[in-house]
Amino acid sequence: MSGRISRAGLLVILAFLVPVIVEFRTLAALFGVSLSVGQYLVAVTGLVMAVLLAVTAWNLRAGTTADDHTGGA
Amino acid sequence: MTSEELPGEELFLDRFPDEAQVVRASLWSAFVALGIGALAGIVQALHRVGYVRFIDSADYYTVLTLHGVLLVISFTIFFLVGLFTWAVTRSLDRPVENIRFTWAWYLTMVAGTVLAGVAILGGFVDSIPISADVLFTFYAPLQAHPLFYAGLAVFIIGTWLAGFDWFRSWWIWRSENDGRIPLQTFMVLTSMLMWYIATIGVAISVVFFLLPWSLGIIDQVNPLLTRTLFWYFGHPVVYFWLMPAYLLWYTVLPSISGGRLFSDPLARVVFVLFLILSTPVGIHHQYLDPGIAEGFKFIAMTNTMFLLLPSLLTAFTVVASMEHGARQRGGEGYLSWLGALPWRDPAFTGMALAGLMFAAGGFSGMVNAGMNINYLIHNTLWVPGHFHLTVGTAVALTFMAATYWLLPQLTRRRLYSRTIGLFQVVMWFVGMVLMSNAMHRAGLVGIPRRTAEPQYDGFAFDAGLSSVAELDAQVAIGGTLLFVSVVLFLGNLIISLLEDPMEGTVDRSLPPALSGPEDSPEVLDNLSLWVAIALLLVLLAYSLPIGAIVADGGLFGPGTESYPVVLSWLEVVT
Amino acid sequence: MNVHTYEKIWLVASLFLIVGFIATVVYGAAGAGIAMVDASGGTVDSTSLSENERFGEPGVERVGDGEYEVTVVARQFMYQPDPIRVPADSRVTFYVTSADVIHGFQVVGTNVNTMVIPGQVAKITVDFDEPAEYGIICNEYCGQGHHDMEGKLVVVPEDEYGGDDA
Repeated sequence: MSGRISRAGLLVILAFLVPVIVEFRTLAALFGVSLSVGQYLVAVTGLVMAVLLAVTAWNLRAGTTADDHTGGA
Repeated sequence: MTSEELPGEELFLDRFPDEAQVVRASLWSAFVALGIGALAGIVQALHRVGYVRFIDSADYYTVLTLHGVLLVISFTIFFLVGLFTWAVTRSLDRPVENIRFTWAWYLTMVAGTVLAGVAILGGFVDSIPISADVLFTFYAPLQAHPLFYAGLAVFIIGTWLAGFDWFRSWWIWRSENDGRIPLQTFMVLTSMLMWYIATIGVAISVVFFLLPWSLGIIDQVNPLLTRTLFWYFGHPVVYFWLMPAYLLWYTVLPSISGGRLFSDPLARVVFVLFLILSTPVGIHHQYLDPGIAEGFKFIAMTNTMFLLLPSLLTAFTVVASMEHGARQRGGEGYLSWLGALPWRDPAFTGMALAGLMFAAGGFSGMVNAGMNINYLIHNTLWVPGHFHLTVGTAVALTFMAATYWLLPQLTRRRLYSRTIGLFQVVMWFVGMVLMSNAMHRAGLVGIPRRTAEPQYDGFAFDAGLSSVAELDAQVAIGGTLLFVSVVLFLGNLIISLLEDPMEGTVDRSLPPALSGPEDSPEVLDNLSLWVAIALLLVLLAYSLPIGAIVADGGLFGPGTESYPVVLSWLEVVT
Repeated sequence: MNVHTYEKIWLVASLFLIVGFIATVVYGAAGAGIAMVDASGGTVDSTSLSENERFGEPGVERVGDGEYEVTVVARQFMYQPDPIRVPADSRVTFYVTSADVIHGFQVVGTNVNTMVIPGQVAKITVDFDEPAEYGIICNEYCGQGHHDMEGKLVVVPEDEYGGDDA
């Protein structure tokens, strides 16, 4: 798989993250971690940044190796 | 060319201009209901949580009735009749037999909606003695104005006539053609047979009890009986909302994904299962009703659990068809084929997200169906949380997405903005994730549904890890996003229609299934057999409970005074 | 009929899931002893509740060692009696009916929850082990004042429980 992730694809990925973000504290509690509201905000901001970085990295890598999907979004 | 294919180069409205007009009228009726219903929805969301309360809390229930009736009766069923007319016409590739008859049933449905709508809106004006603050379920002894019941009856008669129209097309097609019923027509016919069986309950309830009672011909009704008759209709109606979405997922979504339906025979099996199993389950809405023996509830529960089967089979077929489409588009790998799907197309993304949300709604539905866990969530906010995923997303979002796809072939207009369309469907998904998630969680801690002010004097809800304020915020933000999403949807459509007609055509042919109807046994098309089995199951599930209810309380009792009346309950107090 | 192998596997797995769900309900009823509200409460003439033997005087009654019966009338927009007081470590059977329209009877934070239908008597039996205070709410729309309809259930320590009257 070498295709770039389009902006539409990114939008859908971020939409899929919403349930995780919304219930992040519940999720953490399942693993015995209780988060304060401040910690929660930092954690989900980090999560979103991480996904954005991962997508950017993926697209940079795909952009240098792909020969058929260079159009992007 | 099989009958499943329509030449891609000819638009539906060119081939069937009269039918296209009826389809457009039906869809627009649906969208008017959607707009008003959505407005009622945001008023409720903000009122409940206490953020904005510009209506009186007593009027909340008028708004709620409007929201329920317009969205789950008018929006869903007007869309359904439009889509089914399109589907039968194109899959049989023949015009309707008599376009005047077609317009007649459409206008009958409009008349019914207007009658019921006037009765509901009358509830806002105290000086007019007309109201129908009875919510979508109209449980007696809450009483609505006769116009409400009459409107409902007229609307349902309209749908019956519509069904006759489609059956007639098929009967004539059958006398001129050999072979299997084309898949889309098969889906329409089985859905309508289910509908005929299901509406018997509400028709008896309205015509023999509620309408005469609201007119003063009879003094009282048996509240448990009319309630049971309502739910006899009230569960299959949810599948009636869902069937057009299934039709789209089976016959349109694979094509949008770039592929073909995985299996035509399994699609037929699924619709037959819905026809058989949709009705003998209604008592699962009455798990907590006194006056119905546990054994009857158990029967409804097992039938309900087996009703999961067609939906689980659908999940497989739809995902398999999407994967096939993705691989046709060059997708590879175990999961990376997902990236090859046309996510930029709002029609695709909307339907895919709707299907995903339906899976989540299915899981909360399994909890509802679990007879004893149901105690925990019955009539809490969990329940609307559940059905905003099913009818509110699986159905509503699929309809909106399908509209983007249908638009050119019905109106010769391109969608004004695909980007807005994409934002709109994603916004619906995000809004519903927030709102429905919060509603489910609120239900688990006991916050009730159908309440203008779920804030009480004597105690506070314990929301556990979260807080009630956080859940309220999720409902308010989610509800707002959903409302904005509807505005974007309607705006995008209206602007599209103002644009100039497009030149040329668009390819809207639907390729046949990978495994075609020739792989399925002929017996699947034996509709009389399935109707007989469906009726038998209904008799088994309902004859004893209804017999017992009538034996215990009588056909018209043990009732009480109707409400609203002039505070007659005070007499009982003193 | 030609069914793909994967689809067959999925079909069998689905059937297992369905049978599994039914098994959990059977276990809940037979193993955990969760009975459904049913027809055992009988019917009642809702228009003359004040003359009814049971519902004429709603309240709490001790019927045995640690066993109590609570008779509740739901009406627009209140419960009688209110509050309901029962001792901890007791088995309580509620008999609930309506004097007017359909109501709900839900003890918030527990699975005590039933519909209240005029003419029908809802009968539910509950064990209260610990002292606690619960809200009771009407969870079915019952008219313009529906949102004001609430009550209270107080489970008091056994030694503080005075008598039968609430």
